[in-house]
Amino acid sequence: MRFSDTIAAVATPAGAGGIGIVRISGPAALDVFLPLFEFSSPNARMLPRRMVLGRIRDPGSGRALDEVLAVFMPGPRSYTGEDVVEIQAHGGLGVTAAILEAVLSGGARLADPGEFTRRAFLNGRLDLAQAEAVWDMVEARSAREARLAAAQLSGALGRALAPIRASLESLRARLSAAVDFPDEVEAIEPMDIRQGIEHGVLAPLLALARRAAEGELLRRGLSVALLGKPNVGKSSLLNALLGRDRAIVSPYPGTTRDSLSETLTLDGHLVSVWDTAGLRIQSDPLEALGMEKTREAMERADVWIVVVEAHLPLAAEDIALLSEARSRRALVAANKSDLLPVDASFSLPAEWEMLPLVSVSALRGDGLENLSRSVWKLAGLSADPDPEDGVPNLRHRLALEDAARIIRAGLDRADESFLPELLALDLEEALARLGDITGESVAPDVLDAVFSRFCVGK
Amino acid sequence: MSKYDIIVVGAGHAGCEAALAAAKMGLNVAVFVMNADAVAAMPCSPSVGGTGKGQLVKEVDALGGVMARAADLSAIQYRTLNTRKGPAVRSSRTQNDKARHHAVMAGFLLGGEGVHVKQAEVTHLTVEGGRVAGVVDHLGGQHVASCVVLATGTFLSGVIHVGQVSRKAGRAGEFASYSLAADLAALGFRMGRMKTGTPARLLRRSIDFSRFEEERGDEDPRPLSLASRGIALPQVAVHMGYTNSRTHDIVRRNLSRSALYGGVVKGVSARYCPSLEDKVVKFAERERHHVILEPEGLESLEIYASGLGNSLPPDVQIELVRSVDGLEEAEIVRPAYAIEYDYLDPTQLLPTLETKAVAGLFTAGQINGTSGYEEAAAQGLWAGINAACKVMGRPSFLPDRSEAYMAVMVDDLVTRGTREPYRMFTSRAEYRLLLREDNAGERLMEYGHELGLVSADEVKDMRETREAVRAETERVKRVVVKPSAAVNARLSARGMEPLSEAAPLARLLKRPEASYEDVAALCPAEPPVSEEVGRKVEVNVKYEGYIERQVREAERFREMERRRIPEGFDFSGVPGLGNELREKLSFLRPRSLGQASRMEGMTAAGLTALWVALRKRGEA
Repeated sequence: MRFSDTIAAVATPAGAGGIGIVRISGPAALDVFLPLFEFSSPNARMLPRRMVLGRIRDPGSGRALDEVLAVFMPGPRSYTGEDVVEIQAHGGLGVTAAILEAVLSGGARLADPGEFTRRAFLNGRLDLAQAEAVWDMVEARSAREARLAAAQLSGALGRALAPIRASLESLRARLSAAVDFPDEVEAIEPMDIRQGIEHGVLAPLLALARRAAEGELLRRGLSVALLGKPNVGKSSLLNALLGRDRAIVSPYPGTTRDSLSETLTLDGHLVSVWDTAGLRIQSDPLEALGMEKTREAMERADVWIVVVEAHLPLAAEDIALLSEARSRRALVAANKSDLLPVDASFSLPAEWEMLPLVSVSALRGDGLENLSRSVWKLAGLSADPDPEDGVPNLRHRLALEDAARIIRAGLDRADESFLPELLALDLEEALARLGDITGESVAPDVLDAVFSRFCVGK
Repeated sequence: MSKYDIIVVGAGHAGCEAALAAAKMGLNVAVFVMNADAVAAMPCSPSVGGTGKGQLVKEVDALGGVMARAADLSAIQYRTLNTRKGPAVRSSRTQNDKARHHAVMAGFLLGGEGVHVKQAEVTHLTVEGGRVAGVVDHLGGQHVASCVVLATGTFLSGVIHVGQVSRKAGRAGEFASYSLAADLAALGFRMGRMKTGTPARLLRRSIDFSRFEEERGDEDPRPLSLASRGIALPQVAVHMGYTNSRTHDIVRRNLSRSALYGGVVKGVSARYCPSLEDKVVKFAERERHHVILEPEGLESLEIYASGLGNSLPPDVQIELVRSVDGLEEAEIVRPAYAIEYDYLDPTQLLPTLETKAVAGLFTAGQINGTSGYEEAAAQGLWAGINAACKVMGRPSFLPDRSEAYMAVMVDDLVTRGTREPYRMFTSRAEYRLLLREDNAGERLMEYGHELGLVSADEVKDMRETREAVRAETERVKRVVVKPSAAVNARLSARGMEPLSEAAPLARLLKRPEASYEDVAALCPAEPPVSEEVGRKVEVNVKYEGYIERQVREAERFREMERRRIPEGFDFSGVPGLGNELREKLSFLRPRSLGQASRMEGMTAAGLTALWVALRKRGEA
């Protein structure tokens, strides 16, 4: 789309170290940039897709703002499809902000959030799924998520979908051929078609949808509640986890609403941990309030870690918690393993044996890796999912589930009476839903599939 | 110099419908035909209808066209295809007596009020200021008209191939038309080359029919046309057999002598109608292919050997024919041949089938890249009606893809063009549950009546049937039957499972084995409904849910169709469109966002850009 105005913004996340990039996009990108730029080498020029070294000078004072690398990417072969200039500065919020200000004073307009991507999309540089992947990337809150988004951008989801779509198309072609060439194509076997759909389409579709649910968990972060009686070592366990993996993304102060929540990345997963107030069986009214908050955190958590003391027998509070934990995704962390006699080990009574048990020492940092691995297992996350899998996002998951639901309903209908023309319509609709994921609305010509497969015609 | 409102060039299945429709709308129409003995000829198979095609025939009928009526008067076998599938995809097909079909159509045409049949070859178009003004014939005669419909079939620069021998011909034994093709090219039309072909005709008495399987038609045949009363001619059988590995060896051994494989034929052939060469090469693993022997007519002594189409030399043809079981002694009367002809890339047409470059010039049938008598007839009717509307200053007749197969075909042609001879298939129609043979009248008769092609009485009948169907559908959903001994005895007498709990009639009717008749017998309507109404009620009930779904989808589809792109809209000024798309749009000039969305190469981004641009102008 030929937008008449030229936009600019800082293209790197605020506060991130390293380099800061100011991006200018639009017909006047070069005109805005050149008056600000002083080439290091007097003979240098801006050549397409070549890095040049120079300084950005403040147009008002003439003061050098930073030494930068700049690159010019003429449209349409640029990210947005328009003329683009990118200025790579040494980073620091102050410097990049000053450069952006200089650029804006030169005639560019500050870009709206996501506007570069929107322009790229409208210029046909990205399909819908790619554009969404970029929008997700802009908001990526952990290294893991950035990797997932990158994999999707390169079409990993499209690749995961391809064999499913191929099966669907081939089945639909068989059904269509049976309808359009009743005298020439052998009659279809309903069982064949049903099995083809179950194995070739439904199963992989549902598997992909499950991965989508996993992807959402990653996007929103896994919430883990640390539970246990007072002084069992919940806080020190949290600190130990934080100490092991120093990538604190955003420490929230303990509010009255949350008990105490820390957001951290563990093995690249985004995790919120609630350090809950201890649960007591008997409590005074003041404590009751704190316990209400704890209850809330317990309800919201994806995973519970019930912390008990390894060297002591289970207390009444422990037993109450463990009983509740049986109906949840929960594991037991037997803390203070350092206090156990050398040859002794902690074990759970038979009635709670189904709960995964991890022996840890917050003090010595023992068993923490085991603990996090057990958490991923419980949450249904692999410890290190392959980003090439192309985990879909919420919109994708809905489309996948929709497609699966349509096909399932079609199969149920076909059980009553098998009408190929109706099942073909169901498969077509499912194909259209899958097409929505990558924004391709035009289903490939079913007749191509028919003619390549069947000898039809007299 | 003679003056007409409309001149139709060609009197095949397209030309006849175009002329008769325009004349019925009150206009003065001339039909130019190179050989008046060949009006509505069937140069290929002796049959009308088939999957997708049967629907076209019934649509033509619902709009007052003549194909179905003529086919009823010439039918010697009726067969409903897909009887074991649901009612939406059932299609009618008839075997026809070719001579009779020609005679009936020639009668309609010559007897048509306002129709003037002229035997002459049209050699030139008269074009003045971008508008067609008439035609010139081969004897120098000048004829004036406001609109001209070209329905030239395979005659434009036609060349017939048998083996390595090629001859100029429009059909076997008929002249081709070269100067008109040159005229069209000179007017700047983008022309292409297509190929079709037809199998050999065998001498009836040289065939041992006992080696073939006899295939009879429907036991209870129903006429194609709503206007036909009963079956006109005696009904006959066709005969089915197979090729074998010897047949295939003969073809393989002689491939280099085939016009198709020997490099002679350049035109594009249809994948759904493969020649024997194609079958043997592309489907080498198949051990046999169908051979169907269809009579050319009741009295004709020739048999159409369906499945044996090829472009091999005569000595190979006789060898391969005689390799088939039961054809050992067969004699060929007319050899199989391939034919190449010019067509006009149909993306150069408006949805009315009027050319964009020359106002008032319409094209219909094979000239538009299609194949088939039914496809031709539907386009002829479409072009004839729209040419008449243009002359009369009335709005164009443009039903959409959710209303008719013919609309699907025309939209496909003008929006996406075609790379092979275009044939109708049910899978081309998105809303195929709504586009059934049984409801063609409900879909189109009102339009036909508005156009003056369908009488008030016929519309009244249709409306009454529609109302009866609605009421009876309601009733079978409402009326509950209880599992009494009497009811269950009745059910088992009809081979149906007994009832275990009370259920509405509709639930019983949904059972695959149940027909309306079976179910209505348990609690008959008062007064009983006609067989036709019963069948329609069955469709409504059996497809319940799916029909509603398609209705909703069609609604959404129409929303995009309603977002009109104004005539003369400047696509070059739309920001955000790539150059390629911009050029395509400027050339194709879609009339709605919906049509634009179906263009080849259209992207989601491109459509958004177009939408945004229309929005900015306050359109869409």
